Amino acid sequence: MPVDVAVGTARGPEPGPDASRTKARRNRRLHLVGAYTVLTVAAVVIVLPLYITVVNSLLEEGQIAQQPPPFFPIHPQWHNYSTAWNQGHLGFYLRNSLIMTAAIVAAQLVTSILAGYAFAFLRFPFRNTLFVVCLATLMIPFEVTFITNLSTITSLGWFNTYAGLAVPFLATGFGIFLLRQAFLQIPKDLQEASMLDGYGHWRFMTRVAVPMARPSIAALGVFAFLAAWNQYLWPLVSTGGTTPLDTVQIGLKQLVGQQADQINVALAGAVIAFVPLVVILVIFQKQLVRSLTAGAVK
Amino acid sequence: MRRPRLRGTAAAAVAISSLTAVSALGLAPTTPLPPAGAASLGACPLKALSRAKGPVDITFWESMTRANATTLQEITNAFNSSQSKVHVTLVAQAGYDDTWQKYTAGLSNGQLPDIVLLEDQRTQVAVDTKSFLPVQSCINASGYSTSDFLSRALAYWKINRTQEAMPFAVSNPIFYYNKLAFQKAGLNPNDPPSTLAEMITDAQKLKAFGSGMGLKLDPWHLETWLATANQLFVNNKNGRAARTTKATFDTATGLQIFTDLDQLVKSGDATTNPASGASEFDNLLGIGSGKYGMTIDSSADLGTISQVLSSGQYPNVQLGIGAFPVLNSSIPGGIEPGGSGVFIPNRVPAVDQAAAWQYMQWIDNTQSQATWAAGTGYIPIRKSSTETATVQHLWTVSPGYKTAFNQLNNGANDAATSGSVIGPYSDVRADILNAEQSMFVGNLTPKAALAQAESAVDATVASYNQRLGAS
Repeated sequence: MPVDVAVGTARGPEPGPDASRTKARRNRRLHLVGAYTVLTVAAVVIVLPLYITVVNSLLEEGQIAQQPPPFFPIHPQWHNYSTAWNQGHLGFYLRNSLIMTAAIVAAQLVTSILAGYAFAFLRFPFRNTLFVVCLATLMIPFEVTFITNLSTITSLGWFNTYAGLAVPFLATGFGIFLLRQAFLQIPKDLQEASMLDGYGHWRFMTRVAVPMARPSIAALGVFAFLAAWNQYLWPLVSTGGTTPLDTVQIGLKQLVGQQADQINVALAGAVIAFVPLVVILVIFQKQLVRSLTAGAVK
Repeated sequence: MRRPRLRGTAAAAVAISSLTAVSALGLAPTTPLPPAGAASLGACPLKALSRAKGPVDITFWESMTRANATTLQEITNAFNSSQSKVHVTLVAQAGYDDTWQKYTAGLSNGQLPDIVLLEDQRTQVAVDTKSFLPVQSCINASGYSTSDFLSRALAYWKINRTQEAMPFAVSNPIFYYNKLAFQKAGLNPNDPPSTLAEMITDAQKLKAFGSGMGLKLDPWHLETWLATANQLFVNNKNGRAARTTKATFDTATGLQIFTDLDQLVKSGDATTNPASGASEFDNLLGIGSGKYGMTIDSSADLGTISQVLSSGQYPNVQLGIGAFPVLNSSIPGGIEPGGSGVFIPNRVPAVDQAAAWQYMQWIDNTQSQATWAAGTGYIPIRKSSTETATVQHLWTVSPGYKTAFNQLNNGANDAATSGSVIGPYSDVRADILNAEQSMFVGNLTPKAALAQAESAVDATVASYNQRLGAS
């Protein structure tokens, strides 16, 4: 821990080699205790709402209003989950969400890799102008374009279809920007060496550039997943008819409305809806952290 | 299921969508301020239905929940099997705000329902989209009699003497209290407070004995108390004679309401909770847990709360229901209605519009309204419904329902007690709530808060009217 050493040496004249070593060790221990205390408090702050959600989803109906609120579900009501699943038709909604989200994530990765690579490695006229245009799309809020998008997908006959749900989100300025920056980190020498070895752009991209940009690609995947999964306005307006292809977020709101007096069941539905998010975060945690810290230490 | 209320973030989205709806009209900013009501009635295409061959399938966007949804389905099934000309399919939406958002989006791509249930505060903005057939046109065309309806329930959806929509799910605020808590505090458990002043005294006594009052921060408190004192909330007869342009509540009466509420909250005798989000039912749940001895909420919640309280888990609660405590019992005012009405979009095929009118007459007939009242807790909007065995039985079993009906049936029937129509209604309510909160938690005096509320409402209304056309 370089920080500890720095603190140790900042304490004026050294009393002696032995004493200073003990002091440094004590300092280090103090620092560890401090760090873990802060981390524990932070973890509690973050985990507590989730914990309360899970606990409340397992309570009996009458316990929700109890004062003080119960901190443990003494008689866990697992059937709240089956009630939420069945009454809320969560199976149908989750399927819709998964199909839409999978299509959006896969397509965004492909389009962002291709476009990001082109902006980083290819030379073509108006490259920078086009890149700025891509960036500019980040500044247009979705609320501005959704009416136009809605007319477009309706005239294509995609209203209330998976295509209509996913197509407006298959490419993003953010993804292109993120991956272009990641590709720019790859040394030019490496590209030249690969070219000398007979690699074309396609092989260099798939065998060298993409593997090297993996943390950023994984991060983009997770962000795209979160954004698509949590969408509300678009699935709301782009579906309809007598059996709307609603996603789980809309289904959840319907469940909350239906169970206004059974908050435990509504919370069970909420837990079911966030499980896929947790799974994705756990799987990609390493990549996410690596992408956040990439470039921080040279 | 309950009286509509403001929802924080949803309000912003709604503001956007109402803007979209308004701009979709393509009004140039130089056109004069359009009239509040529909410019022309439009024809009710009754003949289209009589000419139609096979059954006409229509959709109804509604956002009823639980028992209410079941009852609506029941009434609809009865309609579908009563005749073979029209078949109605209910399409459940996730709440009033979502319904409206989806409707305004549908204006751009034609994905519209044949009937839509909209909450009360949306009436003016709905008319401003010019996408609805005023039901007045069908009332005239079919010689439909409305004399059996409760006057204020009809008036609520009327602008400039034109019936824009039919009332369907009508409710109003009532007083909920725990008789056992009243007893403990030395109050008569069979004599709930009848005025705001009495309510404040009772809250104080309850607090001294460990409970107090739960006060939901509902922005329609001000409107309701004004109506009980027969005072207008906005100008032009609450927006019904001509379009609303200004607020009119910064008066001695308005000041009394704000001063009383401020005292109730600042003294700690009442504890507030927001009207939306996770804690929107805290005032009612608090009756169950014993935290509160009384509260005010929509009559539409009565069924649910009675059901929850009768589960046997609340031995310390005996629910009592009283009329909404009026501002001053010597002034002949009345309680304004709330709830939701049914609208017919005019951009769907003529035959669908006629079919929708057919169905509307069914859901508002004597027996349907009786079934509806018994299954949901909404108020039967026909006087004849109250004479049915269904409603008589309901009132014997739970007299609380009769309280809600009576306070809508009795009292003055005029502009002040019919509620207001305002384009940016949800924003106006947000303005009032903001001022109330600055008074409760900030240091704003009731007088200053009231002035702030009035000027904020004026600005909100002016901005809406300006977007609609120069004022």
